[in-house]
Amino acid sequence: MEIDENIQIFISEGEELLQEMEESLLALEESGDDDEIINKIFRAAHTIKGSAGLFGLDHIIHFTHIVENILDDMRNCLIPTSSELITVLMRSQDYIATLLDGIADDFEGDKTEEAELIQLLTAFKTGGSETPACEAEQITPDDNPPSSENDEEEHTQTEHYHISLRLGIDTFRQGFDPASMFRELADLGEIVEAVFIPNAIPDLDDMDPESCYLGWEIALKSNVRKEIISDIFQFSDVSQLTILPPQTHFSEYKHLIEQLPEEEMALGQILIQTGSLTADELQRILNQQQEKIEAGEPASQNRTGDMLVENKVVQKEVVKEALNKQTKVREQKQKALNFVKVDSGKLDKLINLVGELVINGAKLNQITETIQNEELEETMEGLTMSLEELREIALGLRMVPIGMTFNRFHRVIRDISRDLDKQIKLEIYGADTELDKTVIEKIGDPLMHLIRNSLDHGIEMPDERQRVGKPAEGIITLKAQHEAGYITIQIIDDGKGLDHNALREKALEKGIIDEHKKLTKQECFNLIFAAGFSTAEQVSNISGRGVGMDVVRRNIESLRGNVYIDSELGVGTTITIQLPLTLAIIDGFNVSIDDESYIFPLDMVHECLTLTPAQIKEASVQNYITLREDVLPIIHLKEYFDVDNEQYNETYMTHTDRERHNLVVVEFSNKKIGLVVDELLGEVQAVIKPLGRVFKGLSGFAGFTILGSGMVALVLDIPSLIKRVVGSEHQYFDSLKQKSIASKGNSIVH
Amino acid sequence: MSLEEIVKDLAVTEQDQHLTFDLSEEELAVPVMNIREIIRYGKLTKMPMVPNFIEGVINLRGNVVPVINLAEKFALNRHNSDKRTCIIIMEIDIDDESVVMGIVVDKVLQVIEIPDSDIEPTPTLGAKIQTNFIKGMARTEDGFIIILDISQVLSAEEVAIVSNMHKNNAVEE
Repeated sequence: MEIDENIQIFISEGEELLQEMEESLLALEESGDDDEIINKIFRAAHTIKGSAGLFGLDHIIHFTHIVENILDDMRNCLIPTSSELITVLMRSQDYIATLLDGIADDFEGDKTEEAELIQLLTAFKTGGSETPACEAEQITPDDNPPSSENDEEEHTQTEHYHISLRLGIDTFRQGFDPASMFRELADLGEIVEAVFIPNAIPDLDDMDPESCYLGWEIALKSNVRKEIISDIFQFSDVSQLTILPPQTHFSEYKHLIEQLPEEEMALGQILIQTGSLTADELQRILNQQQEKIEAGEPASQNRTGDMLVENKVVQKEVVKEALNKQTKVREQKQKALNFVKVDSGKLDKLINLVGELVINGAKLNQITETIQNEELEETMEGLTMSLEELREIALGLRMVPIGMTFNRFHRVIRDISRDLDKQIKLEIYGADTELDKTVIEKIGDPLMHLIRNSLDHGIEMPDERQRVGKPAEGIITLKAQHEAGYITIQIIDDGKGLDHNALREKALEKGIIDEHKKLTKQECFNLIFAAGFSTAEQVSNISGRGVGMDVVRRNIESLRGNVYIDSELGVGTTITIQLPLTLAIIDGFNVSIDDESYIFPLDMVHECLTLTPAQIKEASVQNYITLREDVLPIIHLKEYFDVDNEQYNETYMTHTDRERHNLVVVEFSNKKIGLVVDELLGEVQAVIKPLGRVFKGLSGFAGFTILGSGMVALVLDIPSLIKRVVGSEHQYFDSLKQKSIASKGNSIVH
Repeated sequence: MSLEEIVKDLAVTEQDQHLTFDLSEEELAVPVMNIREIIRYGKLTKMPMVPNFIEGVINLRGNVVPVINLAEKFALNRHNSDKRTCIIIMEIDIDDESVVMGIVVDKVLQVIEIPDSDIEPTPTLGAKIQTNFIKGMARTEDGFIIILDISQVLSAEEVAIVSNMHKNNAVEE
């Protein structure tokens, strides 16, 4: 099928609704019967069905209709909520998702799966007892629609609903098809009679072919509740709609004729339109209300709804429904006002443009400094401030909370723990932590893989857990939090943990490391991420989906992120992922080494200082200095980069004498190191450009940026630098430890 | 021929058109099809921890473009840059991905037509440049022109050296 914009919107909204449905189903499973939640699920299914009707997607209507029926029965307490039912509903929800997915390719779903689901669903229907499953206080059941508590003699004897419908003039322009409304009505029961009302149709000369002048009086034989009928018209442009249930008070019919066309959707009007109340009765109420106000009582305490109930004119539920509807309409209005959906491609373009602006702004700034014109300088200052703000806002647009991504795992964990017969609970912290959209999109798959691993290999079987004195239910915790310029995501399980010796053995076996390689415990854990480590032995349908952990690591590193594992045997495993907040523009600190500029991410710069002669001496012989009585590991960036091999010795000598006096202390993950540089050049805004095809293997750099001078500069990747220093330090201390233990004569297997 | 005139000739992007240039006393040619533009040699940003044949990177209207020194790559005598030194910006496909790179040459000469029929196979002996970088030789009045197989020169494996470099470093450390 050709995908036009409207269908695109339908699909994306449908996906959101399904997401909502899934969350609600999970919540329902947690809470047991909860009318509010069931209603929410029902509404989601109903809306999808309704919108599918607009596009004539009959296969979607057909299936959702069946799901909707079950949900309706749940709502009416004809079917009790059970975990089995929720499982089937979740599968149905997945199936609807595949149907939505398939729209573009004209794929109408796997009919065998559909048949199976329908069978499962209907089994609940027939299997469920006819007596209401819920408590006695329940709302009116199906076959007893709400009616006014007036004298029975005055009621009509009709056995069907009467629906009075006048479509709005813009019905066609908004893309609604009256035929689909009739189709839905026919789904609910039998249309006994439909009388077309031609009165609104103007003379041929005045008629606008795009306008809708249609109206009907319809008799519908059905035993559904009134709200279900009115739901059909919920989204359409209806200028007037009245639904009168069977055996309604005469006066209601009388006043139906007198009804005014739609005005302000006041509560009274809603009640009139849904047929619960006559205009006459409303008038009586309004008069009373007026009297009370005149008597000096505050109006707010006498909302129309309260008074109606007080006067026993309508039932409480009907009023509640109407009030809910009012709030809902208001909320939807507010939502529509507060949010605008934007194509993310446009956002990317905007960010790129802001990036260009920032670069040109820096250039202009440099020119301004050379020209030294006061007026120009002032203008430049204003411009710089606006630019900075613009940058902040533009980047903020792309920040989205990680919660959505996290919530997806509720379902994953539920399904997998069932498959594995394990009991696992998911706890989420920091769901509102915001992260660049691009990062969020790309982190989903690695997270999924890591969580599957924790489920499969981490958490033990319930009996095994109890044997070692843990609660039968395992806990997986997902945690997100901010750290200077970075965000950390942790996946913590309280499972059996990793055995670092076993990992080492395995790596030896696979030839990933050789016999003599000394590894710290930490390094042993990280072997999991080495290429070729995860192997066929570990493959199960849960975690081994053909993607190794090395792919996970590479994916995370391609986002300029890092991943570590820490674990304690028998206690659990913690996987920590560190990701940059944004991939686009950062505040940077410019330094020079050998006349080339390098940019530090400012967030991670802890302090800058000029080395004292004593410190310089210290630095020239060892890889750390003493700073305020603390030992600070340092890197001579010049040596580390080894920018020009041949001239190395020569420049090294001259530079130690001349410029290399400055130290930038950076901090990340509570680890500090000092980086020796030539000159400190000050703050800059850096638009980060990726290293690209040629340089992507270069570690220690996050990307390029273009300076105000037009020159290219490298942006340092501090976490990876720290990792290197701290890594080698570990190794050093570890080897010391090994030596001392060996000298004591203990035999230690490492 | 002035640089401006050569640039004008570049606009004709026919299959057989080649740009000839001097590099360390050799006359070489590359197909015009792969050439994006020619710019004068200016200040580059040096890259740390990369092989010597990578001269550095330049800012080409907001894009960071790596620049390869062919003399270094072919192990020829490297000339100091002067006012005739140029960077030829080339666009080639590496694994279906379009990559823009620059090559440093001593002097661009002219755009000439070399039909495929005039290209002779590379002699296995006598060439200063590794034969797998050469597409063929073309005879002119002044002698031979070496036609480079530019996608081979800047190919995935060649460029990937950069990616592997740091891994080797890591092992050594």
